[in-house]
Amino acid sequence: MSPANMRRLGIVIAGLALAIVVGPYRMVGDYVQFIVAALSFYFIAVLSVNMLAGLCGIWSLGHTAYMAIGAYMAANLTKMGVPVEVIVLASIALSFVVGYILGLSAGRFSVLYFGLLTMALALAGTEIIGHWTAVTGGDDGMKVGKAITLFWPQPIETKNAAMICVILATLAYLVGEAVSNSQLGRRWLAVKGQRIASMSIGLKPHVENATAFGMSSAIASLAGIGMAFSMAYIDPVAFSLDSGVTLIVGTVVGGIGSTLGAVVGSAFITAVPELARDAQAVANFVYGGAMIAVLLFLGEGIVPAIRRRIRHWKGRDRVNTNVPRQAVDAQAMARLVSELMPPARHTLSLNAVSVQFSGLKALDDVTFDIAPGTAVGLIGPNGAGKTSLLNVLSGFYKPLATTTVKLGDADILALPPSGRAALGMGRTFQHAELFPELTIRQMLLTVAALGRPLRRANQIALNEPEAVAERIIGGLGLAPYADYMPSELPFGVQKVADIGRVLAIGASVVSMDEPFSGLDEHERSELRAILRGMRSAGVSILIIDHAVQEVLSLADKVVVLDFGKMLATGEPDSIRRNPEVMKAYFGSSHHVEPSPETSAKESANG
Amino acid sequence: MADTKTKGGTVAVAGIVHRYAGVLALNGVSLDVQPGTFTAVLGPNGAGKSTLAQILCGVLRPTQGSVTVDGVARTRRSRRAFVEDGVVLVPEGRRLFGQLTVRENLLLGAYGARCGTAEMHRRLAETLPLMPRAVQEGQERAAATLSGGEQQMLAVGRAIMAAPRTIVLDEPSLGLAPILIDKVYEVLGQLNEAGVTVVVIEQIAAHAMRYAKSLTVLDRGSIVYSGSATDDAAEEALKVGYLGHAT
Amino acid sequence: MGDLPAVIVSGIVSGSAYALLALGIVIIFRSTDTVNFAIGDIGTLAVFMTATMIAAGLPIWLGLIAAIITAGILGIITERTLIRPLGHSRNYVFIALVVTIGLGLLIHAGIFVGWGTRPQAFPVLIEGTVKLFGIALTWNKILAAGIAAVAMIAIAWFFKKTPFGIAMRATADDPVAARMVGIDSGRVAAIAWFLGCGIAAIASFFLAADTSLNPNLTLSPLFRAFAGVFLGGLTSMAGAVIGGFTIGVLDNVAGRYISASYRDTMVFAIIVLVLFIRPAGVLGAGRKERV
Repeated sequence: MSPANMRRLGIVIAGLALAIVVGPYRMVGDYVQFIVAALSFYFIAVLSVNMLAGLCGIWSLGHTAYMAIGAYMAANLTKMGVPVEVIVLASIALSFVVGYILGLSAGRFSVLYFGLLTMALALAGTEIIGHWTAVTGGDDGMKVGKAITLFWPQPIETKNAAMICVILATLAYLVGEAVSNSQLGRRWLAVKGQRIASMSIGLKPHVENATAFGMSSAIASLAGIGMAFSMAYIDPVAFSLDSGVTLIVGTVVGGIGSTLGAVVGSAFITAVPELARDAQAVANFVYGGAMIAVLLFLGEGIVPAIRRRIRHWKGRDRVNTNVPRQAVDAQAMARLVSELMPPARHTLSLNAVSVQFSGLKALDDVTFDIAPGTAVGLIGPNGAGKTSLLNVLSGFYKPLATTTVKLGDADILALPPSGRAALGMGRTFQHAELFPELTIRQMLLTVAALGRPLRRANQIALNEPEAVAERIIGGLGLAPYADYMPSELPFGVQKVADIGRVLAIGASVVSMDEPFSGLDEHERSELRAILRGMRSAGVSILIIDHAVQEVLSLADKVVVLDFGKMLATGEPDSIRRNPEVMKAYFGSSHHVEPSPETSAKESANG
Repeated sequence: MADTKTKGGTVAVAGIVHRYAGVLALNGVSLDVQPGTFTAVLGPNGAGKSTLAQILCGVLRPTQGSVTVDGVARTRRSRRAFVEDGVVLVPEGRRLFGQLTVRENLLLGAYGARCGTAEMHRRLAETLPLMPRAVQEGQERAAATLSGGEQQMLAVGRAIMAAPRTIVLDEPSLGLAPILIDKVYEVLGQLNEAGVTVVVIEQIAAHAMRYAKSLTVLDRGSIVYSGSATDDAAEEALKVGYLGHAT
Repeated sequence: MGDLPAVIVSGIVSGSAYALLALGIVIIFRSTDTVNFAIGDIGTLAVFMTATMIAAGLPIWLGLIAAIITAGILGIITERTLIRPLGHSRNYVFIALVVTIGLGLLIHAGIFVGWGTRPQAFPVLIEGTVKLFGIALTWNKILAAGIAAVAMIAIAWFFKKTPFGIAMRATADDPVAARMVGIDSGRVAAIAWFLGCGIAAIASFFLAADTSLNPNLTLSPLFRAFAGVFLGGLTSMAGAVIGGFTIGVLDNVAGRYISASYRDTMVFAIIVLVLFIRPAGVLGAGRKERV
């Protein structure tokens, strides 16, 4: 059994044991039952907020609204004799749907706007609860009947409902752990960390956000069910904005994005009011003070801060730079590429690409082809429109209607940014843009899983994500770095890992944004080998770079842009001699007109 | 022209190394800008020119190395730029305050140099004649509504309002048609004649080479040439800097 | 619908408090990218402090000025001690918001400790009521609206005409360029927090005179102020003021003609509607956040 499964089993056993202890056999007193129940439902609620903040960067002050859904469903359905199991399923379903719909809007707004929107949700929720007397009993609140269960002949006494809370908390813990350690959680972290890069590997950020919000809402509703049965009485105060703020306190203090953090955080928000029972002011004081102290001094909360210290203490956050990365040669690279991606079969043809910003043409009628398996270089002075062209290809700029961009017969422009990966289009980034919260291995695993359909369609034998990730790590010499976060790695390694990401998705038409920028001479020579290897394995490459000399030495064909227009196109040698190109770079100055023999000498050297 | 008594003044950097999040942008750059000179710093993109411009003006603190203004070391000072010391940057992309009016943009140049209201308006009256008509006549327009050339002139004007002794321009010709670039350089030439030290940082060599007397070529974070702008060596340095020895 | 003019007038009058709070929120956000959730609590704490001074014999007019200055100083202290040390991490914007939530809790606790849990009576500047379009408005409310208007005009003048005000707008426009020009960002932040919290104190002062002085004085007005900010966009001062007044009127109209018991919900509905139609606010000039 793997350590992860051992841990899960441990949690299940501990959860069941605790459930029995606080359950109907009266093994502990009422007060212990009450505390365990409160701890459990607060844990569920904090976990739901924590998961969302940690994995998606979405902060919700309004999760009390979903607790309310669970709680009032429990109260009303129990009256009708519905068993608790059904209530759980029903409130999961309802909360997921409501959360998913609200979550769809999360992508439209900044973190801030969405946070304030959820705050408004909490306030409106409290008011609706206060006035919708038929369902909620209004401000006076309502009693909750004893829980009926399918597995026990008698209803569960209120005190013993702690058992339900513990079982639900165990369930939530398992779901939380599973999500954080799975493809789903890694995808959310990818979207959270690098939205644009995540779209380049085919993720749809708004769908990922909505799914996360829906799941988190469903978990929050479980807290409401537990609360309803163990308190036997619910009123709007429990679901007010203040309670929402308390959940944020628990999240921040315990630690963002950590299931264990949610345990610590919920213990904190359960213990403080218990210890300061007669003085609400003291509780507020401790909450406010703890939250500020944690944010100012620990940054990310108690549990992650301790983890980081341990990692630092063990020296795990520093890469041993004395071990040089084994260099990749062109042949090895060609082998690696041909094992992972199909050779490009279709020509990428850009026709009359024009982009306009408030009347100003950033690109004007740019037309060229990238034949399968060739490398095309795109150069031009600063402001020539190179980045705009890349943004058209990636789907972030909408060109004028006369523009067509086709890969074979497929109309690229009709697809959203996230749809282009499925056609085998990939890209790398000037600043690598790796996902900051995934290690290199996790990133490759995630992307390799997303690349499965494409590899299957192209009958690539190597398709298991684990195997693909391993092959890339080995092939690119990333083994010493595979388990580090991007921020812990030298920039050159990050850029190689970015190329690894394109390999993992299985793209066969790759646009590269400034692959040479920020690299030292050693890294540049390795990158040249990688690019040559990719090309000889049949990948089509578009290299956009300021390093003119590099582009001229690598590309089969070069396109020169100036002021958004195509200035010249042709083989590197002809571009090197083209007086128009010289003029674009140096102006009309006679100083730098290269003499014919120098150019000849230069190309002879290459 | 504003205040000619205190012109000159030197900015010098030595042994500058700068990294952005670990990425090396400048690797051991030393540059001594002599008072009253017109210097061009040229190089292909990614050479580290903007980084150097920002370090010269105290906008950026280098990872390593020293910066001196008039011989006084400035490496670990306050977060403020060197505007008060008379070293003013015209940043890449102009960085005007687009939502503010033309006049407000100009006034802020003087405000940043800590001068009083009366002095501010005196300088405004002196600077406006150097500006194109659209700037002179459209003082209440939002700066963002000016054309590219007018915006560049306004950015220069904003710097002049600070009564600089040294003015550093980061790619003033970026995105401008040649005729407008000439206009910008004409004003720079006038400033230089009035005793202001001018440093232009450019990717496109032509215009800068016509006005500059000394030249520095930067390539991949290091200075590959430093000296007179008219030497043959300068020509060779430029060519290698841009097109490289084919590899 | 015959009482519509009256409903609108009373909406504008209550909207002046929302507009002041909204303006304070926007001024602070523009300078330091911080949504100050504690702005109402800082204002309320200042009013509690001046209430003690007024009880000790301070003339009430001076009390208002003292409240403004106290809140302003509390604002500056907050920015220096809690906001600036955060630096600019990745999640800065939300972390700063959470810090101000924490501050709000601390202030609540402080008020409970210092003044107890019972609401306190608070004197009004002018007694009496006046009839307008058939509704009775207290002079206190009218004076509040008047002073709010004066404060807003003064703020507009400050930002439009004084060099420092222009420098503050420049910082909001492009903080990096402002630094390049030589503008002292620390001073800009301090003045912004002083102004923002100071005008929040004006709102708290009159809200207290209107009902009673209690720690939750600004909870519901702050929610409406945020709605106004959404309406106007987080970066537009004029938008915040107009948004605040608009919410005041809409809230009153909806409360009168649709349902008096779902007012928060209707404000929420307005926010949702606005956000979906124009995520940057009706008057907002696009979102601007530090990245």
